[in-house]
Amino acid sequence: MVGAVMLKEWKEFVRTGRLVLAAIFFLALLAVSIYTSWQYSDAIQTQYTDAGKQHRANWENQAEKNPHAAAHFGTYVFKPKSALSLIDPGVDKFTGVAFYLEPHKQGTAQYSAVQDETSTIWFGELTPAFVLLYLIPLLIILLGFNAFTKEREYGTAKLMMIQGAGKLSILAGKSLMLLFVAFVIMVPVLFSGLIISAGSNQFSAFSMSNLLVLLVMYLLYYIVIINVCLFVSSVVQRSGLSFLVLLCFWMVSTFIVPKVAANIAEQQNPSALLSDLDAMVEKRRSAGIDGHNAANEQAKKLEAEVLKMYGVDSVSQLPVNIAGIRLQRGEAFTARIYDSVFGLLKTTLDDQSLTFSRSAVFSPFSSARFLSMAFCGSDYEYHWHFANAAEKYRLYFVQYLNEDIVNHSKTGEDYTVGRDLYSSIKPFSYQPQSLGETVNQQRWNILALCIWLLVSSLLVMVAVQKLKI
Amino acid sequence: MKDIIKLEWRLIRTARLTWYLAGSMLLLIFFAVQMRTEKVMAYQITTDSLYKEENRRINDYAVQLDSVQKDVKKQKGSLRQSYLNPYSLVFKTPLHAFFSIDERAVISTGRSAVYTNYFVNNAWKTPILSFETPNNPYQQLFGMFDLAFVLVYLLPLFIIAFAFNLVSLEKEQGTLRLLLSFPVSPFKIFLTKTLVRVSFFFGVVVFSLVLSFLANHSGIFAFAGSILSLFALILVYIMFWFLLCLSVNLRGWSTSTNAFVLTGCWMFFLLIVPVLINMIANIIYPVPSRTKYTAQYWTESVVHERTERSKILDRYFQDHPELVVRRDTLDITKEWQELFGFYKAIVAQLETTDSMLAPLTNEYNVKMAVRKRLVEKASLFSPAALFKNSLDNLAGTSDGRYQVFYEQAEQRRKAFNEFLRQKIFQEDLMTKEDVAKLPEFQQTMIVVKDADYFSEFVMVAYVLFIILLLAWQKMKFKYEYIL
Repeated sequence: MVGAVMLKEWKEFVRTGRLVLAAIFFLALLAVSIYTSWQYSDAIQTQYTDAGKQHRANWENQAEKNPHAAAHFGTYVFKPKSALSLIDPGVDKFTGVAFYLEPHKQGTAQYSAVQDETSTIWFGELTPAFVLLYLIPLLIILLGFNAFTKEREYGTAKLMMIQGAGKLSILAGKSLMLLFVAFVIMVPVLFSGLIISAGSNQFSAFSMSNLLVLLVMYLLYYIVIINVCLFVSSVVQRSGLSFLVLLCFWMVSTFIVPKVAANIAEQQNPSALLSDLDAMVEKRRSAGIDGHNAANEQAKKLEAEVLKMYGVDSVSQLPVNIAGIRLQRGEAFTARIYDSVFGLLKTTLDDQSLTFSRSAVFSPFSSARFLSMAFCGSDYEYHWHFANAAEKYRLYFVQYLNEDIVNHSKTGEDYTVGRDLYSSIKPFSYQPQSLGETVNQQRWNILALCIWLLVSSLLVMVAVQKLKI
Repeated sequence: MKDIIKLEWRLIRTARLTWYLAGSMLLLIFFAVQMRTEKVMAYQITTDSLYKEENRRINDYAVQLDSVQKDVKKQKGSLRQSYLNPYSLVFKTPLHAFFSIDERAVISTGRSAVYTNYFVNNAWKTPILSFETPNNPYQQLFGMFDLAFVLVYLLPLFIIAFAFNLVSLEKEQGTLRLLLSFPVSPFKIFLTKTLVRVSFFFGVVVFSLVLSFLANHSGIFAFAGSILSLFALILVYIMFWFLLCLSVNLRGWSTSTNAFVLTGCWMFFLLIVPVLINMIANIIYPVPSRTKYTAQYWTESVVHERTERSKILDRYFQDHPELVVRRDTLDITKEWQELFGFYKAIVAQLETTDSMLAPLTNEYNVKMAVRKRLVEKASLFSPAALFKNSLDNLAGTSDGRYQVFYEQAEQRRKAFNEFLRQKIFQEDLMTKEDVAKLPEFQQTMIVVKDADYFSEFVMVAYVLFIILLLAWQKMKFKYEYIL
């Protein structure tokens, strides 16, 4: 009987022409969005790869100089685009992509692409995720807002019951038909994402498991929307009112709740100005060792400590270069300061993100939005994961050069190095976090989506059981 | 006609949906104004205190400098750290330029959620390389809940909810024939009904705005002209959507179909057209790459670094003979001369690199400007995009105003660099009097309009277009369409 209901729904969709029109429109949008997203991602990743190589060559080609002066010349590392980010680019455009690595300073990400965008970016971007997250739910609403109201208005509900269809069979048939439509539109996106991502070696490693989890997540999200749609259609008397209520629901859950969450997040945990962070670092730094200043009080203490350790009276008798030791001690000191200041910043940002996660109580869209970004490797956590890897590499590269001064030169010596040392430093490589870690990070959003699924399923079943025909 | 107005008003007054919609509109506007007012005030307080702190630091610098000038022994640390060293200004009293806003910024967050709102006057760092990301990206991804969002996105949906069944409901309830028995043309009846609804809705919005501004002590009333412009813009936008609803209703479709079509129009103007404009701009004028620019900048630096600094300096002096110092006038020690020599080489190298990259920088700026112009003109395909542009202009947070801010900040940076360059090449130590000569940053307060009222003109043109469409529908009108 469920099959018969599905067939009836299908025929109605096709006869009214709504499905055909909508399907053509949505598939065209999807095709365009996939193509442009692919072209954009490919071009961006090529730029990053080329720039990465060029910076490495610049690093190795710099003039002969003291290793610490070479460290000050610095280098850049670029955040690779994850393979699945062509389906959902998430916050890629809003976070910087380049990290400048230099001594004494933990870099913040530079060049966020959104600053080069025009004002129309405020309206959003045509990406596959935009279609999957915003437009397919709207399509479900457009197809299903009168699922039950029309049966009442046309008096066809009784006919269906007479023919032996139970209320739950009708519900199942209508739900499955709507899910089928969403699935048919969604699959080409994921399939083309699979082919493009897996076929290109430009992006960071492609993960099949992430893609499958993404598919399941979207299906759950659509089931929630279908449940809400059918629930409203079963409790509201008229099609027009049902449509209005569902349109409000879509508007509130996709636009209003996330925006209000953004305001509340900022109000409860205001973001610090970068100038404040800089001032905080400077204040703490002035109280400790300055790697560049031998006259600094802490530097003098260190000198006495090193002389004592080697059992000599003056720095000229040391078998190592005290300047290198001082620089490294200063580096470790500033690294701790940055660790704590950026820790504060991260806590604020985490608290803000928590407000966004909590908004999932009012909107299934919020949890789907965050899960989609997370599984596509384009959320803020991915960015921080990369930022931490870049900082780890910065500390390695500065330490490597400082230790070279310590071990291969004497205090006061005019010591220079060249290409051999520059190229002996390992190039930067990055391994994104595993699916397990992502799932763990996103546990609240997963839970919220499951609760939406459970509650909406119960509500729609109860409402349909109580339906008066 | 009076009877129709009275009848329509009674219909509006007695429908529960009307008051739900009006109440929701009031709440949304109030909330948006409240949130944004707090943010605007906090930003103004922060920038004021940062400028005060900067002035305090400059004064402190002048006092210290004066004391060192009078007694050199008071100078602690190396020459680089000395107050007499002109370059010490860069790290002892970094100068800032903050984007300034006034109470009108409550109208729209505009580009302030995306753009950098301040610059540190970093002596030789080119602006293209000096952008940093300040906010949580989720805020930028979702956008802030502000007045512009309520007016641009939600207002049309409220209008659709209020007028999607303007004619079809009368038909479905069976009251249409009764209404048509009035001795007035049906077209006039529907137009009057629409205008009554426009007046009511506009009244609700204006009331909500005034109440929200007053309750939140926003201070926007000091800008009467801007408020009137805001109301005029809202009226044009409301007219557009109501007339569109009327035009769709006159096709004689069912309530469901009207709802479907009008939502489609909303989607088309608010979601599809803007994202398509953006996409087309990206295809025709792809964003020039900052990544590529940085890599090339660094490559040029490496090339220059490999050339001996003295050679670069010699070449630099050939190009700038006015900077060669007359040694007989000097009254500084050998250590100072060495330090100035070091800075001269750096300035020469950085300026040479900048001039080598000038074509690339210009290409970048030209491409960005062309792209922005294209998008601005292409906005004419969406009244929503036009309305948003106008609101941003009114709020002083538009793209154009940020460009003016960057240009002004860049002019100050150049003036500061020139000051520093003169001091370094003339091997001239800092004096207390020099501090007063530091270039100040003064931003033009508000550029209300940065172009030619393009957005406003086209918005009015949209309303005129629908009026023409309605006139055409009137000519072709037959009772069968609606009965």
